[in-house]
Amino acid sequence: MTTTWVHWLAFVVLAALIGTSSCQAWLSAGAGAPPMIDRQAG
Amino acid sequence: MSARRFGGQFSPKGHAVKGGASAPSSVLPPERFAGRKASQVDVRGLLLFILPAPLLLAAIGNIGGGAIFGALMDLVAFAALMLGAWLVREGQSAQLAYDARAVARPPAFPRKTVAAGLAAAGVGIAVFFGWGQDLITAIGFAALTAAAHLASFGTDPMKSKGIDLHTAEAERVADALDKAEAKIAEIESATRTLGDREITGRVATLLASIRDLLAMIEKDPRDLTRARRYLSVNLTGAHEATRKYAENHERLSDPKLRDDYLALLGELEASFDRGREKLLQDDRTDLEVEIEVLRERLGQETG
Repeated sequence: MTTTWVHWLAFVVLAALIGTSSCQAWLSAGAGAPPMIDRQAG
Repeated sequence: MSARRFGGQFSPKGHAVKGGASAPSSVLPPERFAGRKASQVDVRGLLLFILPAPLLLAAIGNIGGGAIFGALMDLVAFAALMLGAWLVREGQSAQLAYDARAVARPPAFPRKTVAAGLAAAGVGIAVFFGWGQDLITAIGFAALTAAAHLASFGTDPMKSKGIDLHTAEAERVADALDKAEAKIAEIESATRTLGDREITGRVATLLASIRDLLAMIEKDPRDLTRARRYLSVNLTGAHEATRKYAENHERLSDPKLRDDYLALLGELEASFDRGREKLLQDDRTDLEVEIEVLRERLGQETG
């Protein structure tokens, strides 16, 4: 079982999909939470 | 001046001699690692465990913001991706074992294909619930993930391979080899728990003999009938003895027990070596008979 450049290319796409969806979910979760400084001020 | 192997009173198989100098200890047979494949580490498989990490942070962020359902969905997506990453590694090991053997059946559970499905589900859930995209986008991401996963890691082997695959004989050979491999793996794992270097070395040598025998059966499945006694009686004996010794040696702490176990390993090794010799001798006899028959036929044709 040899890993060719095609396997690596497909893996880069896969990594980009998993990475993007995970990071966007993280950013959305962060954006949804009320900022700490506002809560302290309020 | 020739090199001398380092060893002493407390070295495995070492012997103390006067003046503190060490006697050259007996070297383990070179065939100890014969028939064993070096384990392969695929970086891609390891990266799959790291890439979903932001989903954990997303879950923590959602819990902090009071969005419990969002946190739950992030965790489900994370779990699906991690389970998929683990299945890929299992599938790769199964494929290596399949590739290494001449007679093999496909894995019973299609690990890599299921892993692709889990990765697709994980990404789909993360995009829809975590990122907040619409359903069509989430399905598109999931489909692309499944395709990229299959293109990168491939699918599981689907067909049996070997000689006369559809015969019951080949099935029996594959079955016997599977069972023998499983017993070997259990013996190895039981030996590791002992933490005894001499026993580990002796067991490794014994297993190398057994693997040699298995390789011979793979090359010529007719040998299975001749080697059945070694696989059914001796290998099962080695497996049982190792398991029982591993379970009881600490509780009983009897040095005689260890000596008896080592003696048994020696006897088993000698028995497997005899079996291998016998198979080689039988193969040789078969070949001689075939050559003789062919020569007679050629003699008749020319004469």
